[in-house]
Amino acid sequence: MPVSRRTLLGGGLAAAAVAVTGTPLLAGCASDKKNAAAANAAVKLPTYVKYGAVKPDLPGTDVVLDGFLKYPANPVKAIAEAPGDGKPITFMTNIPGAIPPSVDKNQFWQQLNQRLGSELQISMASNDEYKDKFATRIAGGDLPDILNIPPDTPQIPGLVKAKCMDLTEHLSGDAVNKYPFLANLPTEYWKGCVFNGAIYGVPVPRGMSRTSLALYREDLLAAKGIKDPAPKNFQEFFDLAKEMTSAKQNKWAWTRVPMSVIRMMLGIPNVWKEEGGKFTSMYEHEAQQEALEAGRKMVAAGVVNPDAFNDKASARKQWFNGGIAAFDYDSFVAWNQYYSDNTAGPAFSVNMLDVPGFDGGEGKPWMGSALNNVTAFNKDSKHSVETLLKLANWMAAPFGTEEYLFRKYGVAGRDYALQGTDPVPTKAGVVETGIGLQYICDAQLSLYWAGKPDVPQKQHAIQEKIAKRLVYDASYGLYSDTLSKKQTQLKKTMDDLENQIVQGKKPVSDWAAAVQTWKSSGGDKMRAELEQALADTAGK
Amino acid sequence: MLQRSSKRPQQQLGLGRRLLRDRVLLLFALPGTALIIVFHYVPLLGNVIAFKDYQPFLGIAGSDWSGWENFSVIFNGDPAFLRALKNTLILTSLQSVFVFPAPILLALLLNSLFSERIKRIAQSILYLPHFMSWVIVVALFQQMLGGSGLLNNYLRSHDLSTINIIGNSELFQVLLTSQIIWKDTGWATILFLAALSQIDSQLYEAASVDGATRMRQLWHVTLPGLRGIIILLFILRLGDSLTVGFEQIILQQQAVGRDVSEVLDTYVYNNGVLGGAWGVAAAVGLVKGLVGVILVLTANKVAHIFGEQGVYQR
Repeated sequence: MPVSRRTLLGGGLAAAAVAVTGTPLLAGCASDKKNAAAANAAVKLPTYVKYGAVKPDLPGTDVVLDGFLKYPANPVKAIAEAPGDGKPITFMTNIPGAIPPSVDKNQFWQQLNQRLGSELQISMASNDEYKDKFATRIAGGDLPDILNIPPDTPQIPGLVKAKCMDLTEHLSGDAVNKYPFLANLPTEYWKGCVFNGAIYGVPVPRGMSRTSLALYREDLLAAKGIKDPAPKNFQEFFDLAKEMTSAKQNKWAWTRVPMSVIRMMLGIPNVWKEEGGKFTSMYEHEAQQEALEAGRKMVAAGVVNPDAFNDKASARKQWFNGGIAAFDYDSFVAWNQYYSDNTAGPAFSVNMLDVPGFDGGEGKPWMGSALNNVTAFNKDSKHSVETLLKLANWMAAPFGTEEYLFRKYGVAGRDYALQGTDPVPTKAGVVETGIGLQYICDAQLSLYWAGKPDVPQKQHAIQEKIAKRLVYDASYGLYSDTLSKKQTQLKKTMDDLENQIVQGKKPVSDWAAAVQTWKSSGGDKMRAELEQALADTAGK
Repeated sequence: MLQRSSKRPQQQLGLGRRLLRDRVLLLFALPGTALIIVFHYVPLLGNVIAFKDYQPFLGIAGSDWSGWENFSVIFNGDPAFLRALKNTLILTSLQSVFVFPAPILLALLLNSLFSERIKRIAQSILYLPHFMSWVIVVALFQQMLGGSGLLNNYLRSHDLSTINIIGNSELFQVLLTSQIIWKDTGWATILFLAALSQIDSQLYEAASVDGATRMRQLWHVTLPGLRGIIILLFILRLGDSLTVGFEQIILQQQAVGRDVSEVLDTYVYNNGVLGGAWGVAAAVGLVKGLVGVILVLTANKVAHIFGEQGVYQR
């Protein structure tokens, strides 16, 4: 459906109707924003209490995730009481996979409702469409009880202030102990849930699991006689791609131009870098032009699928799964997703390349962004804040618990078949469980794949390899008004130019001019605000 | 529908009597009118956000007034806005020149077919693409002409060089125009075919008796017969001439970049819905609407001057 000006304004008008009947709120004053950073830093974050009932086979660290080779036998039922209050709870989210069967045809969902003690009504949209849905539902004032807020939503502070519950007194410090699985989420993740000097949501943690590098089809490379590929510099990386390309058979090495991998090779910052209180953006880094040249070289050599620039994520995943491409740039979460979407049969096998330095040595991999999203609760919800937090707590029960087993794998015998203690998903299970529960709240990812212990082993090995070299985004948890308003648009402009440059439609030299524009139309202001925010929070 | 007589009998009855007399007709008109008011006129009031620092979570009433600030991108010539305007105008002219006359030519062609059977079959085939959504049409073009599509795969397997059609910023406008022609030309012939069937066959007979060739018949009989409907449709087309195909463009925008693909409608979407600059987006949309109205009024006036009926009469 095209969103014409008319439908767009229609949504706005509905919002007006709500504003008239509800309580109209005044826009935040400028002085609020000035002290936001200090106020945010003053918030006492929830105390981290690790839930230690389940011992991992491959223990992690602060950074490396715990790995499990088998699902623990006799999983513990960790939560005795059903979290729901008997009344239906509504939730809006994106879902990454195929559209699941509706509740009347979905046994998993039916049993979930029983276990929760409340009917969970979920309004879903695909990843590609969620932003549209989110924006229009907000404008229409039609909000569910539980709201999945993507981190790049413009003006989150204003949004949560106007529409969402302040959770500070229920979560701050030791108060969180009432919800042991929320307390089991490391403090780092809660930083991203603080706005206007209060905790406004629960985190859906990612971090390490979202760290992305070059994924490759081990089976396809092995068929060409390549085992344990480990390119030592860009040239070898490039040669490997050439070897895996045979355009005549409609096979291209890459699903997209691995610009991020190239940038990591060159030591370009992960979004923002901070040094001695000064911030620099990845865009400004001197190696950018070299990175773009390298990307251009890959496109010109024809090692990237020629349709890479047209298509959406879904096509990319199909190419990789279907063996049309051997390499994809994506995360540990996607790695698992590839196994669950696997259509290539039992030989299908994925691994990840470490990133070398551009001219040899070690590359600097980027730590994945800390949060997938913040999940906030509607201020006007008829449910008590305790009920909603209990629900979030239930959703955060970690790997090894009985709740986790049900949440991720569904109903025994229907959605999964036990192989030893491992729940191996059935076809029905894959679609039935894909209703987006992980976006209400989630435990930290544990490395595990039912029936394939080599998957967590490979994942754990690469994580240990890169853990020490990870580069973090220095802007995380710091508030910048300009960033929250303009980041989305400015980033899109730069992405757009990058696409044109690597396709050879525009000269690499255009980049410098675009960086100047980026600076003057918000980049410099973001930098100043981030530096100020850092200074305000220093020593706290 | 257009042949309303200009000499209507003068209404002598009072308003009440007339309402009473036409009550059944008015009743019929009621649902449609209500629909238009609720879904077209009432939402128009929402345009007020063009003058506000509108935040969806604060609502229209809760957002601050900002005067003409949102219009500054238009008055000060913000480069992103100018780029969208430029692309829109290019596409508008391309569409007026190539898309608009296409169904007329096709209708003439169909009309000249003697076999009714072939004509019916041809029409059915030509109408079909109209019923496909843009997502399907774009995917079809992608599968046929894309980098790993049918054409390029064929070329590659025969060691010929490939042609970059989809995702080529230089060909983007041509591609868009071709897609529209492929999708909608057949459907648009319906009105012209109807008008063609209205032309009195005696005129053709008289012309051929006078020794007119087929070309002269076309020029002196057929085209004058179509003139009214052509002008009517052209004026209506001008009204939304700045609407150059939102869905079609947004689906293909990523590969070619915004420099050639950003038009006013996608600008509104990218800045408003995705970027959160709702006020600016509404201001641009409002100006776009005003330009459309002005174009229609002017074109209609011109039509009157040349003695045509236009869309409406005074």
